[in-house]
Parts: sequence; C-alpha cells; structure tokens
Amino acid sequence: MKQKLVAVMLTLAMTAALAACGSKAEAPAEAPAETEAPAEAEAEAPEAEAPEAEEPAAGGADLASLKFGFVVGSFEHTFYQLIGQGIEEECKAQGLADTQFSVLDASLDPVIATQKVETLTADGCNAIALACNDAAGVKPAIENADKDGVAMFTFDCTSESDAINCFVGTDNYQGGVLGGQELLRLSEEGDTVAIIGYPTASSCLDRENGAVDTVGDQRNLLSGYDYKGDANEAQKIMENILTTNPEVKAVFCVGDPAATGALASIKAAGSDCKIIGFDGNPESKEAILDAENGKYWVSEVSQNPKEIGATIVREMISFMTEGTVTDKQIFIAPYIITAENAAE
Amino acid sequence: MKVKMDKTRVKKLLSENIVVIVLILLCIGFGIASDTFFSVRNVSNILSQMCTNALLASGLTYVIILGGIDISVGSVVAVAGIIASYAGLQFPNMGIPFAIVLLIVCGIAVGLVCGFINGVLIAYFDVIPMICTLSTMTALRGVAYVITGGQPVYGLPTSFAFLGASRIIPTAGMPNGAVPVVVIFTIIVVAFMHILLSQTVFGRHVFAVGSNKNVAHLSGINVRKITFLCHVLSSVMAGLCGVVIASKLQNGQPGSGEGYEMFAIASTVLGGTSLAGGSGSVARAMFGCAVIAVIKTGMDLLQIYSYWQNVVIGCIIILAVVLDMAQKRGRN
Repeated sequence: MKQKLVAVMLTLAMTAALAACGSKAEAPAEAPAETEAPAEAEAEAPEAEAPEAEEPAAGGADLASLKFGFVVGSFEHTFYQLIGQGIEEECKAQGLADTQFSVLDASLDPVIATQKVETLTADGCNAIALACNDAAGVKPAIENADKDGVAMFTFDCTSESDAINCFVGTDNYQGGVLGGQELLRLSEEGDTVAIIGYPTASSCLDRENGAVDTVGDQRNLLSGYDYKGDANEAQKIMENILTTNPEVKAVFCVGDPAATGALASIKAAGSDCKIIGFDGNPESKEAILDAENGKYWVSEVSQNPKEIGATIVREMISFMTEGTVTDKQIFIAPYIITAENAAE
Repeated sequence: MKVKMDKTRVKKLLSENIVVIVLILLCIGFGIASDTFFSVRNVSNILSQMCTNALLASGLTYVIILGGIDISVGSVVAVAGIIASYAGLQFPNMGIPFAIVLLIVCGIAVGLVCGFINGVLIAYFDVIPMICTLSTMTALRGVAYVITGGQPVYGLPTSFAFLGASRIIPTAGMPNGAVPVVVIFTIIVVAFMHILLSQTVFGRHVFAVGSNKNVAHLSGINVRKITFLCHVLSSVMAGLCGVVIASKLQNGQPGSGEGYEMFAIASTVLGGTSLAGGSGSVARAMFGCAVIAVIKTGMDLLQIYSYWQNVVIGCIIILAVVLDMAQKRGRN
C-alpha cells in the first residue's frame, strides 16, 4: 500500500513538473528565424498521421542563438578523442560558449548513438553531427531528428540518407589503397601478407576493400578477419595468423587498436612481420619512432582527426548562418607516416 | 511512545523506498542543473530509452526472485532482432498492423526457443543458472554472427520501424508526436508481467520457490515447472526487447544487446529484488530502470564525460546492494 502511495505521489510529481515545464518544451528551440529552402526532408514518416515534417533551417541564423551537438564513435579510442578535441577547439575559436555545444559518446553502439541524437534534440540543438559507425543502424535516428527540424551532419563515417547536409571524413578507400601499396612495398612476390579488418564498421570495410583491391593477386593475401574494434581481439587474430602462416611478411591493420594488438603478438612470437597501422594516433607515431617497436610497426596511414572535427564545425556553422556548405562530401586526404616523417 | 513508533515507521518507509527517493532526488538535481531536463521531449526520451532495459528487467525479476540469474538475455536480444529483420524482409509492402504482429510473434517465438533451452537445462538437468546462461549467451551470440555473416540485416520497410521508432500524439513543440509507441507497448507488457507476479497463483509459487525450494516442493508446488517457466518468461521478454531494438534501428544487428544483461540485472537489484531470491517486484524494478535512464540522460545533458556515467551507476548499485544487505541484517 505504501509503495503504491509513493508510486502515485511520484507520478503526480512528474506530471506536475511536466505541466510546469510544458511551455518550455512547446516553444521550439530557437532555430534561425527566417530561413531559406532547407535540405530535403522527404523521408516517409512511419506514422502516416504525423503532421507535415518540420524542416531543418538553413542560413540566416544568429550564431549566438544556435546550439550544436556532436556524437563521436567512442571516447575509448584516441582517434575519436582527437576528433572531440578538434570540435571543441574549433567551437571555441568560432566564439561559441560552452553551453552552445555538447560532445557525447556513442560507445560504438547504434542504439546508444540513437539515444544520444534524441537527447541532443531534446536539449534544443539546432544542428547535430554524428559518426555513423553503423551506417544502417543510425539512419532512422538521423531521419527522425531531421523531421524534428534539426539540421543533420555526419563525420568520419556516414549513412545513406537525404537528411544529411554534409559529411566530413577521410577517404577511407584511398587510405586502404595506401595501406595496400605499403603491403606491396614491404613484401616481395610470392610472400604472404595479411589484413586485420573490422567489416561491421563501414569506414574500416572501405579501408580493407581498398587494400584488397590494390594487393589483388600480387601476393598471397590473408583477409576476412574481424577484430571488432578491440585490441585484445586483434592480438588473438594475429596470434592465429602467425601460428598458421609464420612466414607472413606484413600486416595491414585497419585501425590503430588492431595494430597495437598485432604488435604484442608479433613480438611474443619473435616474428619479423611488419605492421602498417591506420589512424595516425599519437601511440602509432611513438611506436614507429621507438627503437624496439619501430622494428615492427614501420608505417602508418594517417588520418587527420582534429581537422575532421574542426571542418565539420565550420561546415555546420556555415550551413546554419549562411545556408551553404563547401560540398556535400568533404574528404580529408590520408597520408603515410614512416620513421622519416613521424617526428614532424 | 507514539512519536518513537512513527519515527520507526518513517525510517522503514524510507529504507524500503530508497530507489524511489534516489530517483526523485536525481530528477530534482538534474532539473535544477539543466533547463531541458523536465521538457516534454526529454521526459519522452527518457521513457523511450528505458524501455529496452525495462523489458529485460521485467523478465529477469522472475529469475532473480527464484534465486537464479540469466545472463543470456543480451544474446537473445540479438537473435530475436535478426530473425524479426529477416522475416520483415520477406514482406516489403507490409502495413503497420502486420509489422507489429510480425515483430511480436518473432520476439515471442525466439524467446520461447531460447527460454526452452535455458529452462530445460536449469530446471530438469540441474545445470547451475550462471554456467548455463553463460554458455547460451556465448552460443547465441555466435548464432547471431553466423546467421548474418557479421553484417546488419537492413533494407526493411518503414512500417517495420513503427513499433520502436514512431511517436504519436503530436504537440506544438513536437509535431511528429510526443508519446513514443514503444513506451505504450512496454507499459502494456510490463503491466502484464507485474500482475502475473503479484496477483496470480503462479506469482505466489515463484516467490515460494525463491524463498525455499524444499518447503515449496513439500507444499505441492512443481518447483521444476516454475523454474522452467520463469526462464522462458525471461527469454521471451528478451526476445521482445530484441524486436523493439530492431524496429527502432530499422535493421537487425548481430552485436545488438551486448552488455545489456548487466544494466538489466542492476535495475532489478536497484528495484529491491534480492539476489538471494524470495523477494522482488516488477514495478519496483521499473524505478531501477528509471534511475539508470535518468543518470545517463541527465549526465549527457550536463555534458559530463561518459566515463563518469559508469562510475556513478556502479556506485549507486553498490549503495543499493549495501542498503539491501543492511535491511536484511536488521530484520534478522
């Protein structure tokens, strides 16, 4: 009985709070007042009876009245920490107050990413950018936020949706091509080389495809592994590769956590297999320059995560205040780091 | 004398409803700290975000009252979502009512199969619940990856997303609807689970078995049957949770639900269900789910680093368990 009483009291308290705050919620977020033709928002709503979709505003807004939201893949990865840093630094450089932007963590889970987009929408963000680590998984979240009048952007990896106004990321396929070229450089005809992939992440799949297409039949290529974004998993995969193919000459890892795991296995096995990483995180540069680790981790396809973060901020601001973006898709070119240029 | 009695009653009331008090305090705290926290949209989000955990926790409450555990629910979530997605692909032009029925049937069917396996092994082969569900958790996760080849199942019609992603009852601030359909669905399911546990003979038998198996057996209760049915219920709830997630994402994910069992167990324990068995309530587990959802959303709104969310949730669970133990000691 007492529990029921408490439950009823709680419900009443929540209802009262909702009623009290109703006016706050009903007032739409301070979106740009007079807007021009926005991006298309024609994705069909699952609820047929819903009123006409509210369209994201584009251009004409006062920067001081805007709020921006960002959802990065996972703060457990240095790469996303660097993107986060790039976002924060650029937001401050553009004169945004701390209350005008939020950077949240999706833990590489499309359900959590969806929840973060919903939270940012509720928080009154006018524009949201997210990393679509699972392109199909976050598509409904993007389209729902778009229908709620939020201008949507993506970075690092994108999704196929008309609601996305601009994407900023690395040309992952081209990065994979560079990785493949490094595999060829570090081995000779008839040698065995390997790729440690992460096919459920679309960006990593592009990298693997780029490398596979480049290496082709020129080497005995081992691929089709999934390290699931976990260094420990990559370590086990590398161990298995070395057990079955001890002669493997080089391995291309589609992310730095994979390279870290592979390094541990290669050193433990006493192999002279060379590692090509991908990301360009600080630990990769340190490893390449290190006297011991540099014997194995010799090359890195580097992205520029801070620049990705900064560019998406600039494009979002440009879209909201001037109604334009530089391009629908902006690729920050990857490049190769070796011992010769790692110190730079 | 009377004052002293009242004090004791108040103390008892407070200690028995600690999760409700924690929830109210959290809401007040976040409400003060964030302008957005009590907005209709945010409350709607919190309710929507706690649905998956609520479905899992409502099933787990039965198993935990028995003194058991089911850590396979996260994997059942993945398998159910995938099966529902493959089924959805067979009907590209399906309407919303058909999609809802399809999702529910797939969720229940997968739950029944997985629950049957767990239930038979635990109830009739006396396999320890932790070991049994650890095995099925691993095997079912493998099944999810084998079926899909590690790729999400996508290309589903928009009607498939109605149950998990749509909102109804539009308001001026939320023209696409303020009430998530998934919340209504979850309320119906959880209400059923609560009534089944608290108002039926079956529910009484669950408590009896959880309190003392031997006494329950001597009283004529079929202990094995009750144990079996509780595991089936837990898996069916996980199946429904899986199809809700698949609907929300409009695709089936082999990695879906990983680690969800921990938050569901935490919510159940926070709601006062004793890990030793014999006591608990589905309704109170919902307060546990609400505490976790409020912490996560509130800390996001305050831009508190995600690492801290886990620290805070962990500390609150420890607090709940310590208080639970203290209460039991007090009673003894």
